[in-house]
Amino acid sequence: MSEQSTLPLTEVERLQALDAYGILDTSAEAGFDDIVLVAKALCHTPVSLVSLVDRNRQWFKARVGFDPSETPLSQSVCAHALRQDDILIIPDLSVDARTRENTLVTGAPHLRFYAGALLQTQEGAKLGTLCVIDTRSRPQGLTVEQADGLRALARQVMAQMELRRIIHQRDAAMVDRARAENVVRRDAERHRAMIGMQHGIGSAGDNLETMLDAIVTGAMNVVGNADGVVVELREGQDLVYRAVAGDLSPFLGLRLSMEGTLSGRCVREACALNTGDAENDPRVSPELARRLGIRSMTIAPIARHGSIVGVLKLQSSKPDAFTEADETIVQLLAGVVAAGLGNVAEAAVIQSLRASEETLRLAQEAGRVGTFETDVGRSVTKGSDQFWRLFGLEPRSETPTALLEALVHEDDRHLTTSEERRRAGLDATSIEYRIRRADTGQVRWLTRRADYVTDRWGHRRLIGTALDITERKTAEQEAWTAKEAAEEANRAKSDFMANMSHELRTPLSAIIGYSEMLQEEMAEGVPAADLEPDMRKIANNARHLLGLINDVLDLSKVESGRMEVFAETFDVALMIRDVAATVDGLIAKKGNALTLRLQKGLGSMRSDVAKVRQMLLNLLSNAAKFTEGGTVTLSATRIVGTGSDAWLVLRVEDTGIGMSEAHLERLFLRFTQADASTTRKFGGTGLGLALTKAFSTMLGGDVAVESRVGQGSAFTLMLPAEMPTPHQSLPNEIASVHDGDASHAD
Amino acid sequence: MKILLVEDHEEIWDFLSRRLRRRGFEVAVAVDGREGLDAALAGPHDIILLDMNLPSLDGWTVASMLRAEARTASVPIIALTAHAMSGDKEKALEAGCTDYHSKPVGFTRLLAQIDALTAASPP
Repeated sequence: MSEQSTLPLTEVERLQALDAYGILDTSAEAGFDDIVLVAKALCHTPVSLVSLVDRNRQWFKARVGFDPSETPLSQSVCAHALRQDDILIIPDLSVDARTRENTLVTGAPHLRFYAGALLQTQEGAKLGTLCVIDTRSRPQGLTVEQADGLRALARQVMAQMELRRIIHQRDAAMVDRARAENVVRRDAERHRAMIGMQHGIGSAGDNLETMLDAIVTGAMNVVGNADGVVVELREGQDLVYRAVAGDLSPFLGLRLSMEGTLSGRCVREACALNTGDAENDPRVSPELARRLGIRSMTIAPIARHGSIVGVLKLQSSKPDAFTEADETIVQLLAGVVAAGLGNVAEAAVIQSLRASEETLRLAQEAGRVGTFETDVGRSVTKGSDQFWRLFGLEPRSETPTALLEALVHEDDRHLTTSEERRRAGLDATSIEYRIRRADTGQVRWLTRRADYVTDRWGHRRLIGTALDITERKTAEQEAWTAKEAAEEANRAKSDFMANMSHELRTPLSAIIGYSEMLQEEMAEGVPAADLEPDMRKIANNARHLLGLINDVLDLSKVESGRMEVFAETFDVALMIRDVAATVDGLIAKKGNALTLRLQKGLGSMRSDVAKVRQMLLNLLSNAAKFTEGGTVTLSATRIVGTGSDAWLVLRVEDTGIGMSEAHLERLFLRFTQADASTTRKFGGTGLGLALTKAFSTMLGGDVAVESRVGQGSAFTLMLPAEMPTPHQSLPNEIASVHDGDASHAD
Repeated sequence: MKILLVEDHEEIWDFLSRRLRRRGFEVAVAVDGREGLDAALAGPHDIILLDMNLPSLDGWTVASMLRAEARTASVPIIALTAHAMSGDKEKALEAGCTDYHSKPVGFTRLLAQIDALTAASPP
C-alpha cells in the first residue's frame, strides 16, 4: 500500500527533475556529441546515445549510428536501465525477457547488445542513460575498463547538463532583473512627468484654462494606464467638461446631469470613487459608459472652501486599469486643481506651485526621490528634505552648490560640474554618478534628471530630481559577475572537452592508421618481421590511450567525489625505496642519475599508500622526462607542525629544462603541460599534475613547485603523517604548518 | 601526382605518407608550419594536406599565407585537425583551406577528398 503510493510520486519527482534541465527537444550540442563519439570508440559499438526518458518517450540529446531523434517508451531499453542502480548490460536483447518483444529487436535494425550507464542527478533522480548498442550479441558484455569508462562519460554528460542548467538560470535571472528595471524606469518616468506638470502649472500664470490643461495632460503622463482625463466643474445641477486630455479630448464642453453618473455621485458623496468594471457597475449608466468607451474609472472630488465644486476623473477602456497608487495620485492632483481654482484671481502661480510641491513631496517620499533647484548665478542649491537625505545631510533650506559638488565621487565630478556648465541653458540632462554620503562616507549611486529654466527676471536655474539607484547598480554588477563566472566555467569546460577530444583522437589516429596499413601489407605478404616496428607503435599508442583514460577516470572520480581513500599504516622509507626502484629504468633512459636523500627516522605514516606512490611516480617520471644527462633527487624529511602533528615533506628536484612563471601558474590545471608541443616531445597525458594536486588535497596535504627556465624544477609534496578523516576541514592547519615550517628551516 | 603533407606528429606523418606512397602518390613531408610554408612555396604540388596544430606557424596562418601568394593561391588544401569541436571547420575554410578532414584519419574518405579536389583543378 505504502509502496504503491510512493512509487508514482517518485516518477513525478523524476520528471520534474528532468524538466528542470530544460533540455528536451533542444538542438544538438558539440559537448554531448563528443561524448557519444568517445563512448562509441571506447566500447567498439556502432551506436551510442544520450537517452533521456520522458513521460511517454525516450528522447536523444546526442546520437551516433541511430537515426530517430526519439522513440516511444515501448521501444526503450533505457527505461529498464532506470530500474537499476548501476550500469545495465544485456548481452543478447533477443533472449532477455524484458526486451525480446521490443520491435527494434524483433524487426529492423535488429538490435542485440545493450549497455547503458545511468544519468543520475546528485539528488538521485535517474534521467536516462548514456548507452552503447550493437546489432550483434555480445556474450562477454563489456570489459571492466569499458564499463568504468562508460560510467565516467555518463558523469561527464551530467556535468554538461548541470552547466547548461546554470546558464539557463542565469538567463532567467537576467530577465527578472530587466523586469525590475522596467519598474524603476516607469517610476522615474512618472517623476519626470510630475516635474513637467509642475513647469506647466508654473508657467500657466493666472490663466485657469492653461493651468487645468497642464494638470490633465500631466495626469495622462503620470498615470500610464489612463486613456482619458477630464476636469468636470459644477454648473447648477450639471457637470461640465472644462479640461480634457486623451480619448476624452473630443468632449470638451460636454454637459452631463449629475443624476446617473459616477462623477455626480462623487460630488454628492464628497469622496473618491473607483470602478474597475463600469459595464456591470449599477452606479454607472451603461449607455454612457459605452458612448465614452469606459471600463475603469478613478474619480476624486475637487473641494473649495468646504464644498465640492467638481471632480477630476481618469478613465481607461481596460478593466481594472488603476492601482491604489494611481488612485492616490488622482486625489493629490484633485487637490492641485482645487488650489489652482481657489487662487486663480490672486497669485495663481505661487499657490498652484505650492500645492503641486506638496503633491510632489508626498509622491517623492514614497519613491525616495529628492527634488532640487540650483540658482546658477548665485551657486546656491535648494532642495526637498529627501534631497538632502540622499547625500546624508540634515534637511536645510539651501547650501552652496560647491558643498554638494565636494560630495560627488572624484571620478564622476566631471559629469556634474563641467557637464552642467557646458549644457547650461540647453536641453534636459540625465546623468548617473557616485557620491560619498556626508554622514557615513558610504559610496552611493544617484541618478539625476534636470532641466534648465529661466524665470521672468532672467535668472537661470537648474530644476530636477535625484534618486538613489545604488541597489539597481549593485544588482547590475552582481548579474555581470554571475554572467562572467558562468561564461568562464563554460569556457573551461569547452576547453577541457576540446583538449580531451584532441588527446584521445591523436593516439586513435595512429592506432587506426597503422592497423589499416598492416592489413594491407599482410594481404600483400610482407614478412612478419617487417611488420613488427609498426605493431609496436600500435601497442605504444594503445597504452598511451589507456593511461589517458585511466587518468580521466581518476580525475572524474575526484571531481564527482567518488574517489575513495584507504588509510593504512606503512613505513615511509620502504615505500620511497620501492618507488625509486620502479622508476630507476625510466630515469636511466635519458642518462639521468637518481639520488635518494632520506632523513633518518622517517618512521611510518597512516595514509593512502597507493595514492602517495602514484603522486611520487608522477613527479619522478616528470622529472625524468624533462631532464637529460642530469640528476633527479628525491629527498624526504619528517617535520613537526605547530601542534603535535607530524608532516612528511617529499621533494623531487631535477636539473632539467625548468619552466617560466607563466607556465608555473597553469601547471596544475588539466591538460596544460608547459606548452602544446610538450606532449609530443616528452609524452605524458597532461593530467598527472592535476591528479597529484587533487590527491594531495584529498590526503590533507598540498603540492608546490619552484622552477626557473633552464635551471630545473623542484616539486614539494607535503602530507600529514596521520591522514585526517574525511570531512575534516584542513586549509587553516596547512597554512599554519607552512609558517611553522619556514621558521624550522632556519 | 605530388602531395605535400604538413604534419608534426611523427607517427601520423609516417603512416600517412607511407600509405599514400603505396597508392602511387609522390609525397613530400614537412614537420612544422615554417617548413611546410617553405616547401609549399618551393612547389609545385597538386594538393596540400595541412595539419592545423603545428609548431612555429599554425596551419591557419600557413593556409592564409599560401592563399596570398600567387603561385599557391589555387592549390587545393585539405585541413587536418584533431579538434572536432563545432566551428573548427568554418575556421579552417575561412583561412583559405579548400576542404576539411577531422582526425582520426578515415583513409578511404581522405582518398576520395583528394580525388575530388585534384580532378576538379586544372592540370
